[in-house]
Amino acid sequence: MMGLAGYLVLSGLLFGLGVAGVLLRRNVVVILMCVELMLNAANLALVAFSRFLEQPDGQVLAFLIIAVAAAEAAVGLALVVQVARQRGSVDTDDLTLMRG
Amino acid sequence: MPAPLFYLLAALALLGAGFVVLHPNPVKSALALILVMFVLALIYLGLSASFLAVIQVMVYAGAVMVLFLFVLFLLNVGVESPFAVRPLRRWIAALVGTLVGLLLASLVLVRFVGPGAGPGAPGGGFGGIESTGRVLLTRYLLPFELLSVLLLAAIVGAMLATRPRWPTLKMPPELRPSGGPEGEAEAS
Repeated sequence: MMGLAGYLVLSGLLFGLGVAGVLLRRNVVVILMCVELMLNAANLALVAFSRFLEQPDGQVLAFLIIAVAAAEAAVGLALVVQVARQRGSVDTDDLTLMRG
Repeated sequence: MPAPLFYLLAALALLGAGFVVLHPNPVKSALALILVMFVLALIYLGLSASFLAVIQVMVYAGAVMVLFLFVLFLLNVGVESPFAVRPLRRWIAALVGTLVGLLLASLVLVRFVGPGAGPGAPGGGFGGIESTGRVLLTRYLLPFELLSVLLLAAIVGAMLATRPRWPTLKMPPELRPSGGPEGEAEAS
């Protein structure tokens, strides 16, 4: 049987990869995908805690996070589509309208 | 979940996540992310969270990733090499990502290495749709209902945000709002 630590280490590593992706990539869609990766890592930790504490609350919280992530993806991608229409690019290096 | 199976799934998930971060083609990144989500659903099954595993496949691997792929194809996004960024930013990204991952992992190892083996099989129905749904609709009823409001707001917001242009209202000119969206559309 696998202990709790294994799941949490996997969750932490996935979260770190997501952070690196957000900082590294310039395509806004890929950045959103890396945010999804981080949310999934948090969900994994919640489900693992829920299982090892034998309380269903963590699973409910993970369920709520999945729904919020779906809403976030819908609104975020809508904004990306609109930005691509207006500015012709989804590269963060080109979206410098608010740069001081 | 037996340890060898977990290590196999964890390796697959980390490999897929690395693909997401490093592959220059966004479409292949999205496909790798779908792989990661399927693997996480399998891990949820191993954690006897069967309801959440189904939801993960249906909502994440199904709906959300289809949305991502749809937008990628719609925008016809080109290939972007993650290594073509400025070297400073590349190093900062690698450093911060590694530090966050190692920090979380080491915190876990310091704090939670105690309970070595997992608990025995949980009570009947744990993680199934009945037990999860019971908690969801009693103790977490208010967040659950608020979630529907949030989803409605997201639907309306996404529809409004992707409109090519605001509807031209059949209104006499003196009644039109002066600083409204039409003025912006003309300015742009």
